[in-house]
Order: sequence, then structure tokens, then C-alpha cells
Amino acid sequence: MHGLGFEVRHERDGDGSVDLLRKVETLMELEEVVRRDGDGKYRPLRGERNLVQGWFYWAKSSEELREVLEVIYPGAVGNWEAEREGRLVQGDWKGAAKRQMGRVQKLIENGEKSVERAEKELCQARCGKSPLWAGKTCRAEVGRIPLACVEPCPIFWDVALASGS
Amino acid sequence: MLKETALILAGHGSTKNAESSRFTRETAHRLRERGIFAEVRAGFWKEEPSFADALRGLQSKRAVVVPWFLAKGYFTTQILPREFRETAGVECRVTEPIGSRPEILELVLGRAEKLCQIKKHQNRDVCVLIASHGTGLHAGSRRAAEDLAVGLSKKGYRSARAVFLEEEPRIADWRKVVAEDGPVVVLPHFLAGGLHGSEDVPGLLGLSSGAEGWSEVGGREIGYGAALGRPEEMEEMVIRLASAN
Ligand code: SF4
Repeated sequence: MHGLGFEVRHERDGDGSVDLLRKVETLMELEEVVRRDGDGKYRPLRGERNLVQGWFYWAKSSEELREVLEVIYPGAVGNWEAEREGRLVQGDWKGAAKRQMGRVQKLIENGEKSVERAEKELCQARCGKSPLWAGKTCRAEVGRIPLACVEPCPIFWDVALASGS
Repeated sequence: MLKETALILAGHGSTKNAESSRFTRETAHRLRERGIFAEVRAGFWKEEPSFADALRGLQSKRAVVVPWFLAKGYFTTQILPREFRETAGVECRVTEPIGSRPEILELVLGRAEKLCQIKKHQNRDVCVLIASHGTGLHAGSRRAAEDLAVGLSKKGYRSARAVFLEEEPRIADWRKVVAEDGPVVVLPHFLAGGLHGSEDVPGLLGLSSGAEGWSEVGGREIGYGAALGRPEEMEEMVIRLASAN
């Protein structure tokens, strides 16, 4: 029906007919899809396990497929390639915190507990990525691109700061 | 040259406000469609993709980073150069921020003119204010706004001044820097999407919304201009910044 290319859809939408799914035409439109949760609220965490279903995107080339994956899971393909080539750099959260603004930097001195809590409440409970910076490993399963997290994300700092107060 | 270079639009972004990055992302998509650069990405400080994420997915070995910021300040002089300095496998060049382009003055002049035309006001009857952020930490922010005020004053307005959120003269004290009567045009020196231009500044002026157009505040006519950053206005500026050496 489409010619050669790659069909991208949510895993939970299975392999049924595309007629039941909405066609997403552009990368900008795809960005709007992944930036909202099922209630239409802002979804700032791209790794969160609440990616909406019911759409598909037809990528006409492997270059376009890369762009599509970049929108859904930014950095994931690059990390995967780096990991296979043995050049995936992973730091610890303190190194990352040093490059942040003052409030986050303060976590280095007295935020160990807040960071641990945020790792449980956010990374473990809600995010599909594996925080390598917290000592987690990323299982590379056959046929799957691993979702590595090499550095705490902005939401993580928000949650860590909130849990400390 | 650009054909082999990736473009990264580096913005602030937000973990709370979904709209703050809209124009940056939209501009990135528009430029990608035009095929001028090898690859185009938007990356953010407080939003995904992070700067590092934006770099990670690149196939290109070289990238030019255009800061989606108005003023030379902490972000553009400290954070961005640092974040793009040591990057595995990609050589990055950070340009001046988009706010440094001379076209910004044209955009601001256009907004003032448009507002005056709506009411058929003559320039000599209208006091103009550039409402900017300002910060005691860095002089660059203030200077950019004052330069715009100088540019505006050459167009025969009754007066043209810069007012600030975090410096004197304050936006809230706007009445002290304009004539006692007559219409006032206020032009936000902010990028669209943020709350400063859409809520904070209108609030300080006594306006009920940040929409472009005229309202009355305590018997005074106030025209509020559109914030900066519309993709169709920014696209060419980004290309020029990226092409300059
Ligand atoms: S820091 Fe945690 S929540 Fe944020 S992307 Fe990494 S694993 Fe996910």
C-alpha cells in the first residue's frame, strides 16, 4: 500500500490494519503526538511509559526513520551506536549536577537522599529508560533498541528538588 | 559547506510549559524541509531533546549551534559554549544569539508601525517602550534593549525608551518614563512562548492579556506588540548566523 519504507507505530497497537490508526504526516505533527499524554497534557519526559497509541508514521527511507526515532526517543539511536562501538560515556549524577544552576548544584552536598528518591519515583516508576548514571545497566534485547539514560534529565532535577523540600 | 553541516537550534525550553519551545521546534522543522543543512535539530536546556541528545543522533561530523536567545547573557556566553565544547565526534561552532541580528530592529519597528496604523496615530504622538528582561548579572541584556530604543527614536516617535523586569527603569513604573498623556506602544523584547512576554509584562502594564493590539489602562491607550520569534521571521536570520564565519 505504501511502497518501500518503514511503518512506525506504538507497540501496543499490534500489527492490525493501519486503517484503524491515524496517519501522522510530518515530523512536526509527530512531535505534537509524542509531546502530549492521553489527556492532552504536556508530556515532557519522552521516555515515560505513557506514549499515546492510535497513530502511525510512514518513513520512506532509513534516514527518515532515524528522524522519526529521534522525535520519539531523542538520542536513543546515537546512544545505541555508541554503546555497540564501546564509546558510550556515562557519568554520575554529581558530575551532571555541577553543570546545572545553583539549586541543583546544592544537591551535591546534601541531596543524596532526594536523588535516590527521585530515581525510584521517577526513573523506576515512570520512565522506560535505564539510568546508567545511577548504576543501572541497559539490557540489549534482540530486535530492540536499548533506551539508555546517560545523564539525569530536566524533569529529574525538578523531582529531586521537590522531594528535598 | 552548510550542506555538510548540521544545524542545532539551542533554546531554553521548559519542563512545565509545552508551548515555550514551539517556535524553535517549528523553525527547525521548516529549515529541515528546505534541505540547506545536512541535518537539523532543536535542543534544549530544560526540555528533551537535551543538547547532548540533539548531538548524539547526528550523522554529521560538524555542527553549527545557533542560540535561540535574544541577549548575550549567561546562557549564550557560559552555558552553551561549555555544553558544546567537548562533544564526542562532532565539532561544534556556537554562533551569536538570534537576538544579535540587525533584523530584530526591523521586526520591532514593523510591530510599532503596525500598531500605529491600526489607530491611525502619527509617530510624533506616540511614546514607545521596549520591555525587556535586564539583569544585574550581565550588561548584554540591557544593551540590546537600549540599542533598539535608539533605533526606534530615529523614526520620529514622541519618545522611545527601554524598561525592564529586573533593572531600572522598571516596567511597572512605565508611567514615569512616558509623557503624561497620549498613546503608548509597548514592544516586548522577549521570545514568544515564554511567560514573560505573554503574562508578566502585560500584568505589570495593567493589561488583561498579552495579545497583540490596543487596550485601555486607566484612561490611557496602550498598544501591545507581538513577541519575537515567529518561524517565518527567524528562518533567514538563523541561516545568516549559521553561514557567517
Ligand atoms: S533521568 Fe530518569 S526519568 Fe529522566 S530520562 Fe533518565 S531514566 Fe528517565
